[in-house]
Amino acid sequence: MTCLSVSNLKVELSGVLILDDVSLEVDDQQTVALLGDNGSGKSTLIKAILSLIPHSAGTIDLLGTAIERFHQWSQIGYVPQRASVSLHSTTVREVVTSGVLANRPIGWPSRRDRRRVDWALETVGLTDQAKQLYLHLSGGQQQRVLIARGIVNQPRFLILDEPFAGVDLINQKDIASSLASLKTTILVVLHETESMAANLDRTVVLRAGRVVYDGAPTTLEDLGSHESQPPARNPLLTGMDRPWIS
Amino acid sequence: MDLLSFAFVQRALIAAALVGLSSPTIGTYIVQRRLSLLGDGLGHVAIAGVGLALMTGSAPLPWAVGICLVGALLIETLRQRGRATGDIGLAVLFYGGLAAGVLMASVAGQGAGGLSSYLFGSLNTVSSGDLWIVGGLSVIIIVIAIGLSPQLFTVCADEDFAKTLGLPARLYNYLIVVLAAITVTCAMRTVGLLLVSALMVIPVAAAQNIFHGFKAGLWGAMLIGLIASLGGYVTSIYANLSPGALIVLITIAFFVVSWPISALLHRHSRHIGSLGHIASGPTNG
Repeated sequence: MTCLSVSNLKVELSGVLILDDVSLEVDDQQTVALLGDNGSGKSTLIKAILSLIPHSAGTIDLLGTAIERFHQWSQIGYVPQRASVSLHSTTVREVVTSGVLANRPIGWPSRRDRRRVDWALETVGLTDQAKQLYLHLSGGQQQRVLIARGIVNQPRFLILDEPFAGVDLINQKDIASSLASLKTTILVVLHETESMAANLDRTVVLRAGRVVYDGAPTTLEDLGSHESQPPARNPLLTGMDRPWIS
Repeated sequence: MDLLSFAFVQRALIAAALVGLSSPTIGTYIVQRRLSLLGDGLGHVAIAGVGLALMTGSAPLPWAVGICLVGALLIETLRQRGRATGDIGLAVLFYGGLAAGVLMASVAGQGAGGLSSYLFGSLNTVSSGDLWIVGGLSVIIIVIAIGLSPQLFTVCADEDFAKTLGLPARLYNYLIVVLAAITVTCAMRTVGLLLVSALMVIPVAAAQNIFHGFKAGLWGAMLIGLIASLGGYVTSIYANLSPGALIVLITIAFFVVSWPISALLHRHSRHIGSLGHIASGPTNG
């Protein structure tokens, strides 16, 4: 069963080509890392998959349904790169509770929802901080709160956009261990794979808006990528080569 | 106490209480979306509705509600299309509304002075008809803003995340500005169109300093709005001062007092938090 199928995807923002001919599949129970230098289009791909930005060509199927007709949002978990600043006067429990509202345009959280929130907080190790203000937590703890919010529905497919940004290595491994315990399908945007190396099934590498590697777990260093390379947002202008396609 | 037995005083107290409760309720979402001055802008737009009513010799409240709703929908459409970032469109709308209102009041032979009771409020002149409209609209605002609070909170806190939950984020954003427009026009007889934004925003800011979390802050802001509105009006009738100005100054007093309270509470919270960290082992950070 395929959780995600992206085919010949093209995304243009303000007339600039960001993603070009991107194809990608994520099968059930796989953990796939999406790697790439800054400006390679990783976050744009995640946003396109979640229908947060439009695509100009290609198809996206989530859980076997075209994204245009997709409604099973409770089956999808999303952890953004960083939280909105509007969470400043909000408790940790309130942030996580907002995740239970998938496909519920009216109504308040139920007792069952509260138990889910308890479970999510326990999974990320923040039960003791539930009543604290989100703002008062460290950067790493805030990231755990967003992960708890993303997993609170026990989604079939979890999409994370750089969940380890600003988190030290020890805690990255703790979070990775929590994610592995979920036994769900995961697509995770990473800068480096060290913390999740043991759990990865595949690595996909983007460069200048194109998939340049899709295969066994690897790192950008192994592939010879260089952070010093300038962000190349438009492959049609940069004449990008594709040396690593497997 | 004999003043309280007058019907106009009773009507004014009920109107003040309703507006004191409803303004911070919707203001909580406006502040969360970082659109604190939206109420101020909508107040300017509503002046055009009042001017139109003066010119046509009809009741101002329905006209103000209608014009303000159109303005609110226009503002949100501009924002959602990403065209409000330069503020030029908003400035044209806001000051265009103010200028049109003053112009139409002049055509009606009343000049800018005819708008005064709507710009600064005039609680003592609230009629039974006004009270029914303000009462009905305030109840609608409060019921929707509290009934949909989990969804509205989620959309205001993190719009992209709300969309990934399948929530109709765009619809909720329109709902918030529509409710804000109605709130502004309801408040024009209490604190006035120029001061209404203060009653929407300052109780929320004070409550966020004192109360812990979004839900507690929402209830706290309503409580502060209610106390300030009733306290301001009662003080004004005994001291013969402007009720709208007094209501706003009382909300500011709450905000000033909330600072030291906030500092104390946060120090206590951080202390408890650090004890929690010690108890649960090393944390990240």
